[in-house]
This record gives sequence, C-alpha cells and structure tokens, in this order.
Amino acid sequence: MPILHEHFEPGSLIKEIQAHNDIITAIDFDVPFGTMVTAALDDTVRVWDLSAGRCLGFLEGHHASVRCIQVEDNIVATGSADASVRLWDLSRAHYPPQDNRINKGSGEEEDDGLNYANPEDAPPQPPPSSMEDCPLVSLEAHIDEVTALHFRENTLVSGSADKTLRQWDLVQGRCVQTLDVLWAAAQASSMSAGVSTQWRPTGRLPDASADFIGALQCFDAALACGTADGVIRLWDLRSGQVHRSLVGHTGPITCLQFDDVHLVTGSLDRSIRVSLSLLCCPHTLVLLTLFCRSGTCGPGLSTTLLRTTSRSPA
Amino acid sequence: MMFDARRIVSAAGENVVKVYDKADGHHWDCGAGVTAEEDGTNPATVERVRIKDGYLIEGRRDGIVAAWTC
Repeated sequence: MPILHEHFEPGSLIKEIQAHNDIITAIDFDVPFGTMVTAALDDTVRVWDLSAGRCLGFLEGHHASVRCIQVEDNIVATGSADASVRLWDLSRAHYPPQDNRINKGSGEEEDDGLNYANPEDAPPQPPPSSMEDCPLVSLEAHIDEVTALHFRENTLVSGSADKTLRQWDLVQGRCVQTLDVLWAAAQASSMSAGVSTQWRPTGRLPDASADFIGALQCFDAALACGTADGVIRLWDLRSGQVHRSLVGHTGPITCLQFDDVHLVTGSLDRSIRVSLSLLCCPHTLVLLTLFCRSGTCGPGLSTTLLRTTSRSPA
Repeated sequence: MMFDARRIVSAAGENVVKVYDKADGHHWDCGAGVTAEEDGTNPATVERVRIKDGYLIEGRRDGIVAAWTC
C-alpha cells in the first residue's frame, strides 16, 4: 500500500535502494511512488517500481553510460555518452509478478512499504527479457556525448559535447534542426551591439569535468540552454537563433528548469539563481543567489525572491 | 537541481540535498548526511536529485538511491 507522504515530516526517509554499484549519473521518475529510471557509470539503465522498491528491468541498447533521463508517463528518453538518444515505451514491458520480490528482509512486513533493501545486497536481478519490447527509436546524429535533453509533446531537444543542439521530431524520429551554439552566439553578438553575448572565456582553464551543454529545457518554440561558459541562452526554435543571453553565473551551468513564473539555474560557481521566467517576462533578470556549497545564505535573499514572485509580469 | 511548487532542491557536492522553501525562504538540509554523525554512518555524495509533488529522489556516488518527503 503506498504511503500518504503528507503524513510524514518533511525530510523523512521513505525508501533507500542500492540501485547500482557505481556513481549514479542520471535519475528521473514520473509521479511519487510511480516509476523511476536510474543510470550509473556501470552502464546499466534500470527501471524501478518506487512503491515496492524493486527493479522491474533494464533498458538495454546504449553502448556507453547514460548521462540524462526524462520520464513522462510511460515514455522514457535517455541520452548517452555513445552520442545517441533513445526513446522507450514502458507500457510495452512485461513486468515480473509481484511475488518475485527479492532481498526484502525476512523479518519485515511485506506490505508496509517501508521495507528497505539491505544495502549490502547486490541489486536485485529482474528477468532479462522484461523490457525487450520497450525500445521505440534511436536518434543518432550527434558526434559526441549527449549531455542534456528535454522533450515535450512531439519535440525533443538534445545537447551534446559536439557543441550543437539538435531538435528532433518524435513522430518521424528524425532531426529537424541543428543549432550550432558557438555560431549562434556569434550571430547574436553581432546583431546586438553593446551587449556581450558571445562566447565568454572565463580567464581560467576550462573545467574538464564540465559539460559544454549542461542543461536545457524547451517549451513550444522556446528553448533555454545553459553552457560551460556560464551563460543561459534563450533560443527561438522557429528562427534557430539566440534571442537573449543571461549572464550572471561565473562557472559552467549544470542544471536549469523553468515554469511559467521562474527560471532557476545552478552552476559550478556554487550558486543557484532564480530569475523571472522567459515565459512571463522577456527581460529576464538574474536576481539572487540562494545558497552556495558552504550552506550559507546571505541576508535578504528570501525577500528578494518574494519581491520577484509578486512583481507583475512585464 | 529541480523545483516543484514549494521547494527548490539541489545537489551541491555534499552528502545532503540543499532544500530551499520558496514560500517562507527557509532553507534546510535533507538526506542521509543529516543524521550521519549520530548514526555513525558515512553516506556518499549526492550526485543527482529530482523532486515532484513533495517527493524527493536522490542518487549518490555509491549507487544508492533514496526517496524522501520534502
């Protein structure tokens, strides 16, 4: 029986799983207590039932570790260091029956949802064939690692270490647009004199561990993309051009998310910045830094956030 | 990093997830690292974090994935 998590204090542990035996490289899940997909440096991609804590199967096909995952309902997109993006349909899986649960600990209640897998145990092994009907399509055009992806409806955008973004039509399974980040950045800078939107050398040696394209998200024709130079670029997929660049971070962008109010970005400069979202305000401002690696938070930040949220969109 | 309606959560190279409450500006730590000292455990660094509807998932360097209320 699923737990009603509203009854827990915030910060309570629900479940802990030894999902892989190597560094987790990507995670996503659909809904609380739903389906989770994990990837690790051990080059496996596993599908999990979150309410039972058991592994349902493996998504096999990538030739290298998966760097990014998105789960929407029964559709999973994975981007890999093998330069491909693969789509999977989990509704085609043949899940093993519930009584095949493994390593649940003999002394624990079976149905309370709190039975943790023993961390010393090896990850439970589902039948190898449970996911064999799941692969939908492999999107292959990038020539280097896929480091970020996002899909919405029938459009998927992927970002790669080959320094391009690619827009894919998921119905036809083909690439419909390639965006050269360096070229587009140079175009944007030549059109908007006085505003520095070109590629910004930071004056330091590039961080070898940072991905060129750290994060992206699309919404209809709008695309936000964060790169290793610390710039957030807002693209128009209809023109294929950068229409705004947000400068503020001093290190590579590693994560990014926007909704209809906020654009939130995180960087290796140890800060998270919250701006008004591009969907409500074209003149997006980088407003505040929430906290850094030391865990400290400067004074007045929460009021800045409140002022941001209460400001009417321009 | 990810946010839902109430919180912004981030993995910042520690054994805890940094949580920022958007409503009251409060920020706090969530994860195995919070009680590690009293438990005598040494949880691994959090690498990835996701949150949806107050349900937080974090994945660590040692391959452990944990779900938390948030």
